[in-house]
Parts: sequence; C-alpha cells; structure tokens
Amino acid sequence: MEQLYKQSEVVNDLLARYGVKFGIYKNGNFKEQLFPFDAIPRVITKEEFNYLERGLSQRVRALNCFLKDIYAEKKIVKDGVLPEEFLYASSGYLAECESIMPPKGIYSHISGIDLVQSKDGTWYVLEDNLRVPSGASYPMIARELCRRSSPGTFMENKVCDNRNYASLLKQVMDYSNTGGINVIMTPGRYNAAYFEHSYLAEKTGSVLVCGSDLFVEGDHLYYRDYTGKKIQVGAVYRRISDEYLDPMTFKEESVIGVPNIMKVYKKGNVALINAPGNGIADDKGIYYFVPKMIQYYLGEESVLNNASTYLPFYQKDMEYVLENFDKLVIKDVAEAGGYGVVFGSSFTKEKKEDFIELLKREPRRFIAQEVIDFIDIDIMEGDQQVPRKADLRAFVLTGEDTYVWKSGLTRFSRNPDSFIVNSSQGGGFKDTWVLSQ
Amino acid sequence: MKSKTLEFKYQMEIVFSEPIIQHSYAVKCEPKDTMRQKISDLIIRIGPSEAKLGETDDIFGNHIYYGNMTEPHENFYIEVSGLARNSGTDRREEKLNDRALGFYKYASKHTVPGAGIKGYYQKLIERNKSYHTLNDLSKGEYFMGELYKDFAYVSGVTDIKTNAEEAFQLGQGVCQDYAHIMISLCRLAGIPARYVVGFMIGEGYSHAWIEVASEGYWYGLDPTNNLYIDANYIKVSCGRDYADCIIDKGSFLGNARQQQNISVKVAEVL
Repeated sequence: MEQLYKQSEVVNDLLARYGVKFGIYKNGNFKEQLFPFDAIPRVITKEEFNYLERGLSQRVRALNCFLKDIYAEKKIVKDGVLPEEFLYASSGYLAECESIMPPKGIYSHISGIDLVQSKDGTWYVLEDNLRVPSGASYPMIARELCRRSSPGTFMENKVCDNRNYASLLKQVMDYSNTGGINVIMTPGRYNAAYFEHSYLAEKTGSVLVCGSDLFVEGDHLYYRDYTGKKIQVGAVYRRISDEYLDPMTFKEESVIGVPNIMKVYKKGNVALINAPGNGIADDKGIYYFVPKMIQYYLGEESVLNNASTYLPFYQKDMEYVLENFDKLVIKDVAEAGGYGVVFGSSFTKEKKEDFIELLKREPRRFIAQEVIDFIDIDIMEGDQQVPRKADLRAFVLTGEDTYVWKSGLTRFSRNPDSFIVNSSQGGGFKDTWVLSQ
Repeated sequence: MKSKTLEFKYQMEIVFSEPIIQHSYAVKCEPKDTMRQKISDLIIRIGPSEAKLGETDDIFGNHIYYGNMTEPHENFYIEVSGLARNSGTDRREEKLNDRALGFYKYASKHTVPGAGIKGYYQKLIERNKSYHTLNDLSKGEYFMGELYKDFAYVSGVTDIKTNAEEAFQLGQGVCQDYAHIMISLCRLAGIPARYVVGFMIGEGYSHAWIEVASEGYWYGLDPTNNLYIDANYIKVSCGRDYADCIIDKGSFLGNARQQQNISVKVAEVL
C-alpha cells in the first residue's frame, strides 16, 4: 500500500496525460480541470459488498418496475401509493414518453446510486441517478494506472478486478440492441464528461458520434461514416439529456440532438440507453417513495436505508420540518450536482424567514433530510494523511440481469469543512476496492 | 346558433434565401372529428414532393407527419384543406379520458403561475360571491370574462416564448398569451385545462384557445374573444400548452434566411 501512496503524483501525471479531465461551467465560461485523484482507496470487504449488492440490485429492479408502470398503467398512482401531483408536476416526467415500451422493457440500463456510510457503519442511499450518470470511467482508468505504477500492491491485496466495466456495458448495449451497431452519442468535446464518452466508446468498441452524425430515414436510425456509407444503428448510449435528444419532440432549438429519433424509438427500432423519461424516478421528491416502491412492486422490505426524509407536501412532515429546521438539510428537488442544497443551520434569521415563506408557498419543491454524519476517509495532502468526507457512487447495470459493478466512484471533498463532494464543485476521487476474500 | 359547414384552407410556406439540406420536420396539422365538428374532404400536402413521410400520434391525440429532406431545396410548404360540418348546439368536444386527465391538471412549462397570476386568481375568486356554487365550465367562463376585460390584445409585445406569468405582468398579448393565462388560472382552481390550436371563420392566421374539463366533457372557450367555441371554430390540435401544439417544427443545415408566409381561409358553405 505504502508503495501505491507514493505513486499518487505519478498516477495524477498519467491521468493528466490521458486527458482525464472534468469540464465545468462557471458564470458561463467553460473551464477544464483535472479531476484530482487520491491514491488511498476506499476498501469494501466482501461481506459488506454482498450486502450492498443485494440492496442496490433490489433498488434498481424496483425503479425499473416503477418506470415501466408510470409510463403505462400508473398502478402505483391508482393504488394511492404515490400522489398524482408528484408525477405530473415533476420536471422529470415526460408526457412524450407515455406508452412507449423500450426494447426489452428496460428503462434504466446504467444506474448510478449515491451512498454514504455513517459513523456507526450504516449505509444510506442519498440519491438515485438514472438519467445519464457519469463517473465509471474514472475508477476504471485509475485502477489501470495504479496497477501499472504499483503492481506489487495488487499482488498483496485481493481486489476484485474492475476493468470488466466495459464488457458489462457492452453486454447491456448488445442485449437491448434492435439490430445495427452500438454508438455512444456525445454532445461534444466541451461536455463535462467528454473524456468518459471517448474512453467508454474505445473500450466497448462502440462508435463515438455526435448528433449530426446520425439521421433518421424511414423508420430507422442511421450513422453516416467518414466515407459517406450509411450504417444502421441499433443502440444509442446517449450522453446528452432528454430535452436535447430530439428537436422535433423536445427543445426545438437543440442542435446536438437527432431530429425524429424519438419516432424511431417509439416504433421499437432503436434502443436509447438510458431510456428518455427516467428523470421521474430520480426526482428528489420521488426518492422518498423508493422504499415504498420496493414494497409495492417486489413485495420485499428495502435492504438499503434511505436517509430519513420529510416531504413538506404532507402536513405532518411540514410541522416536523418547521420545528426542527436548524438540524435538517433542505434540498430543492429541481436542482442537481450539489446545487440547491442548504443546511437549515446555515441561515441567518432573516434568510431563514424568507426561506420558510418559500417553503410554505411551494412545499412540493423541497425535501428535508436529517443530516447524516458520514465517515471520513483519509486522503494524502502532501506527505500527510488527513480525513475528508467521501461518498460512493455505485454503478448498477441492467441487461438480461441486474449486475452491481464491483467497484464504484468514491468522491471526496477537498475542503475539510464541506460535506459536498460533487466533482462539479471541485471534489476529487478515489478508486473503490471490493475485496475478493 | 345554427349548424354550419365550413370550407377551410391553411397554407404555410417557408422560402429559404439559399438552398438548405438535412431538413427535418414534424408537423401537427390534421383536424380530427370531435363531437362538435366533423371533418371531411381532407387533403394534406407537405412538400416539396420528395419529403419522405412517416406518421405517428402523440400522447395528446394529435397526428404527426414527419420526415427529412436530405437534398438541397429552397422552400417548404404545408397545405391543409377540407370541410368541417360544425354543430351549432353541441358545445362538447370530447368525452373525458381519465387516463389522460393528469396531463392537464398541473402547471406545464409555459403555464407556471407566478405571484401575479396567483394574486389575480385570489382576487377573482374573492370578488365573485357565488364562485363556489359554479360548475367547472361556468368557473372557466367567469375567468374568461374577467381576463377579457383586464388583458389587452396587442400584437408584437410578446413572442412564442413568452410564458403565462410574463404575459400577465405585461397586461398585453395575443391569443397564445390569453390561452396560457387562462390555463394557468383554471389549473390553479383545480380545473383540468388544455391548449388548443385551430382556425376561426374569416381570413388570417391560426388561432389559439382553451378547453376546460367539466361534467365529463371537454368544452372550448376562446378568451381572446370572450366566446364559447361554436360552429365558427375548427379545432386542429391540443396539448398542455403551446409547446405541444406547434404546427411545424423543423431544423435544417444551411446559412439561409427564412421567409414564412401563412394564410388561413375559412368560409361558410351556403
């Protein structure tokens, strides 16, 4: 291990050389920065991972059932488990996806589930990301480089190989493919996760394309290659958000999408990975209902815990939130990437009153959660090991079966006083080791 | 009012200043039978003729023609013509479909009420002592009458992107803005409401109005003219708001300027 820590700088240099970068927009300007890597891995024992695996796979199976139900019969609404308003008023719900059955009935092929572990060892799910979760490529390439710079470490420690992610992803794409090639569709090199798009395309043998490389003819989708030849496309792992996917269905001004791709999809002639409309299932307001979904669709108790969550939408919860405001964290359901998250205790008296007014006016817009005092993991700062807050994004892939990747992206806050680990807010990352024995 | 047979013709042409390629489009222009209107002799032409057509339906019940023209071309047109036999007594458009009702109950992108519309709504329900005894259609009629008085028809101050609250703050706008504000008010009142695009007797452009759900049926109200939808109207499409009813969506490659000409002619066949 010591040997590996000493290689931290070497690995970071290699990551920079391979272009492992993360782009962020601040005040309208695009800035590309390195995604700082810390060589001390998060280690998950075999037993612990078995538990997480059971819980994550259960959760994703239930979320897939939910998506299938919500865009068709809506039994969960009719049976009174989910209030209708949480469905139709959610920005993640897309009426344009109603009654469309995706190939093989899969909505969330790649799910990124964010977890934290509290100081008493309990794991909590903080967020489900079912739209276009990014991040798997970072531990993939970091592992590769660590093995190269410190091979001894991996002989001494029994770590599950995580370099199978690409083959898992390829299986998922092949399974849903309706006939034709697999492509990974990127908005382009100015996207925050462009490195990941190109890396995954290379590793899965997919063609990396932009929207303008694809076109619809008749009822099928085609890719035009550099010689002008047209090739049918059967699966699109699209790394652009729903609203930009098809200017003829969603935002007309989108220039990075493929006109009428939704019509091909609706006819069952191409797989879109992940399915459009998934945003309804990872809405922060819907999060509250996930344990109920597991009960409702699978008839099982949820294996993993949700953070204790209150919906001010319910009168009883509103009272609790107002009484305990200072010890809760409040999240705006419409925001992502660590934005729109505020701690009740951080408000000045005036700001607090204003915020409570807003909360009363738009109760559905917010959720409140108990603050979880999650564990610190050491990082290297110079020669010293210092503790920092860290979370874990686990990746769950759904093709013929649901499979939990034996690794994950561990993100940490570089600021000792911050709980927010999002890379868009300047955090760093670690490899996640799952021990094989 | 007596029943009428209307002859209609919608023509839209876009002329590009230079040839364009990779032109994709999706067109919602097909009027359908409702309880109030019966369509016949329908002819839809979309061109130039090499446009490759596909057809599908959206979830709001509108028929869509779509396709793409890869070869260079300098114009694009849509022509819709036919006859509408409209009832003069039956104002019902359609029976409510419970499955689809949820779309029309909650604020959509263009109809999110802000402080202005919320305040106005409060004022309206307080002002009318018998408000709570009204059925949903009469509530809609009441909102329509008030909005008609308080909002001014002025073209050019708003555009297709203006939402309900922005238009309300301006106090002026066109049929699209009247419809969005009306929808916003109805949904605040818990009345499902939807946006309608169609034609009105006479010559001019396409028109927009709304429908409210009441007592098992959809009924049309035209807040721009403070009128119930009757035999003088032809409904073409409907949805949650403007964005669901855009007649022609298109995108193309080329550095061309566009000149769009629209003409709508609706006349009674005597």
